[in-house]
Amino acid sequence: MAKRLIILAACAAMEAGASDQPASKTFLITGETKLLTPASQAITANDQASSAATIVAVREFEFRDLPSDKTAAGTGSLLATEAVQFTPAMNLGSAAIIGIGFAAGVAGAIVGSAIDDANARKVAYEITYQLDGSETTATVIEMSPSFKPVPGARIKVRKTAFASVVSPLQ
Amino acid sequence: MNKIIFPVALLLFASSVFASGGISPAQLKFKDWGSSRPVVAVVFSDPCSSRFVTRKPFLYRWVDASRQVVEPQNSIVCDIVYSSEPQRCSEWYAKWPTMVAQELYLGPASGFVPSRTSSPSSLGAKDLDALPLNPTKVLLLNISSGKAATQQVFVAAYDDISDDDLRQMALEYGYYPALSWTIE
Repeated sequence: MAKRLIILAACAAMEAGASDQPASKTFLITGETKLLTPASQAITANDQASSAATIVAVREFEFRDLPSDKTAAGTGSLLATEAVQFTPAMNLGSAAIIGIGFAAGVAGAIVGSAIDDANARKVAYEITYQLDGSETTATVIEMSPSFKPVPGARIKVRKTAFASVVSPLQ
Repeated sequence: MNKIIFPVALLLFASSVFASGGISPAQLKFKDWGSSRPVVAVVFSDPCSSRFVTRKPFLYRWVDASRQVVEPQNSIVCDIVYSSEPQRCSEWYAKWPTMVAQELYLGPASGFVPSRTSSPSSLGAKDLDALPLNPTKVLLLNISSGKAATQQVFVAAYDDISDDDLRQMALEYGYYPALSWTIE
């Protein structure tokens, strides 16, 4: 019974403190791992290495609701061609509406979601960046940015199993 | 306030279930991997779900993406749950499973496309951010027990691994915890 209560207490603590965090947990199973319990040590995204980079260019665009089987929040994955439009109405110059599509596996691609509260429109960004010490650039689609990307800003680029994630360089 | 009430309610509810029995880790059956156990990472959409407080009246199935029964995982689960009532594992009972593990994707990591949505009942791309790089083969398992009780387990392998071995790892490190954490 004591062990049960320990497990329950671990769950209760996780539930209580997880209101602003994803509920999901990731565990790495190595040769020493026994049966997992809620108290088992989870690994986090911060355990993955990241590289410093500088934003070279940003394009803002509006997107429509995307079918869940076509896109992936926070990762580089399929982005339906018909789902994204660059719009002149968003100070993007004289460009006509341009449909874009990205295939899974494109280096550094990121897909998520964001809301432009002022316009009640969903806004996303195409961010081109250059890794420190590299001559080449890569482009990501960020649809749930935790920051507003601007050219010249310093960022961290963290490669994940299925894409890459950018965040401000503190 | 809810942050206090919910855990207490969970404790009281689960305690009442414990009083009537459940599955303990001692009942679980593991493969003897020797020194060849593959390295995998496991992601749970909701590792502490109280929705998986479950008892023997449930009937268990493990099926593939086309809902065909997968063996031996299906029999292993059934034997564990109904060790004293083997008739419960018969095909007659299996027609009406109430707890189903379904393989939504089993194949090379390069062919897997994460969902864009995340929730306690569904793994999205953001949930997979913590996975180590370069998995070889992955399995997305949907575990449901009734319409309102679903969670997903994602298992990523980092060795050359057969489908059967990946399923076995998913059973031992994905399904067993979902089965036993709240009912030990």
